[in-house]
Amino acid sequence: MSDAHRRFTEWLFAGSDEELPRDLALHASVCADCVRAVAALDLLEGIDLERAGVPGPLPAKGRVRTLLGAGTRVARLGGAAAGAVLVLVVVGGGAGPWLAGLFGASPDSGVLGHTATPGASATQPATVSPDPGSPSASASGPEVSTGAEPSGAPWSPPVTPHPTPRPTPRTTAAPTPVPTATPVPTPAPTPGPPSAPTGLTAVAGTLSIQLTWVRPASDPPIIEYLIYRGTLPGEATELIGKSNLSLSFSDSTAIAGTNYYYVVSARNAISEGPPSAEVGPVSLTPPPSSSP
Amino acid sequence: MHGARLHGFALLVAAGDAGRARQAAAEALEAGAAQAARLRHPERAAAWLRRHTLLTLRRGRLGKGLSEAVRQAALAELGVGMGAYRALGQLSLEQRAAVVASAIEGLAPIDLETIMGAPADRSRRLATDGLRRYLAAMAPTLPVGLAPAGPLARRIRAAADLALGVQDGASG
Repeated sequence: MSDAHRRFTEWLFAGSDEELPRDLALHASVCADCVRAVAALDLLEGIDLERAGVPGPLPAKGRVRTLLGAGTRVARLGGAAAGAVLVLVVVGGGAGPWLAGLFGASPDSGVLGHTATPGASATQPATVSPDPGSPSASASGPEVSTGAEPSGAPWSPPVTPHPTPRPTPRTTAAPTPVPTATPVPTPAPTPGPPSAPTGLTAVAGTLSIQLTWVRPASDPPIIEYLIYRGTLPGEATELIGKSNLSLSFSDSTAIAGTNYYYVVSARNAISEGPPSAEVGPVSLTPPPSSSP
Repeated sequence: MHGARLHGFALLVAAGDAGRARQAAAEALEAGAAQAARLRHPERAAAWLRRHTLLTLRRGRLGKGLSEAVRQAALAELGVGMGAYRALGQLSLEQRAAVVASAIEGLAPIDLETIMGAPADRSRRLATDGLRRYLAAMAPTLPVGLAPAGPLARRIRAAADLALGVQDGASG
């Protein structure tokens, strides 16, 4: 690994907040591995958390179950009386501010109630007593797992999916043909630019030309569509607009009497994809002549 | 103000387990609302909520009974493709939280410490290890010869152009 490569990698992992030295910029723009690393990080930049929407109020059933779980955990940990009281209060309702005082106690004592101390403790928010499976408040304790997956939340998508092993049949009679219902793992799509939009159509109106198209395949997902126009076939290169995720666009800048050609391309976090097949010529429809 | 982003944070950390994510985010918001009057550092509320969410998600198994397609579809709404979904799935829960908070949300180091419940060096290492693992899984799946157009790529290109311009000027 070259020195520039190593330094660029360190710059990336450091959060890439500092100014990028020029020699590293030059290296990163020609090194295939660095280009791919940059593209991979830009994929993260393209993630929009707000699209998740507001989660909505907690359903009462889920809340009771959660608090009951907390209560039983407390009881299991030895605080039998406290756990029992907690369970009773939750079942009986009316936990209200009393519970808020208990459960709402600070995950971050620096935010709630105490002065923040950088690097200091953060305590368990949702339990009355420390949960042995949760991180402790101590900065020196083994509160954070850096392993592959903590035991409390094992999850890992199958990178190379294997069909579930078929159980061996108990009978040893004539070999039965295996049904053809064996699940076939879906091949992982290769991330890259989106394909070209298909089915581009242009419908002329008196004031605008309406374009519609069909969403192409893309991984990562499409961010926007780019609409290009030209007045000669094969020369639709003037960018006239963008469409977020809508599969239509209205060209209201068309001039009556001019023939237009259009293409549309899709863009994702990696790059812009190829253009669609061109559509045209199309021109604004003359308005109906008004009778005298 | 915090709801949608917190929900997105939970959804990513929960690796597409929408039910668990929704519940964790809602619980955190509820606990936060109950404590709002006592907030002394409201600017740290986002970290507090994420800390609460992370601790909730740690309890129990994620993705139980959910197919990969369902989890990926939940994340696709945020703009997470299959490749990124699988690469992020290589990370531990804590690493995912650290990467989401630092690389995607751009939260400050002090917020990262709060979320991870760990001192600065340990929190930073979680984010770095997470990014390293994400890149190791994601970068090789990207095609060779692509021309990335994201913000980081544009920034690097601009710096490289500047360097070339300076060098041209110096040589000429």
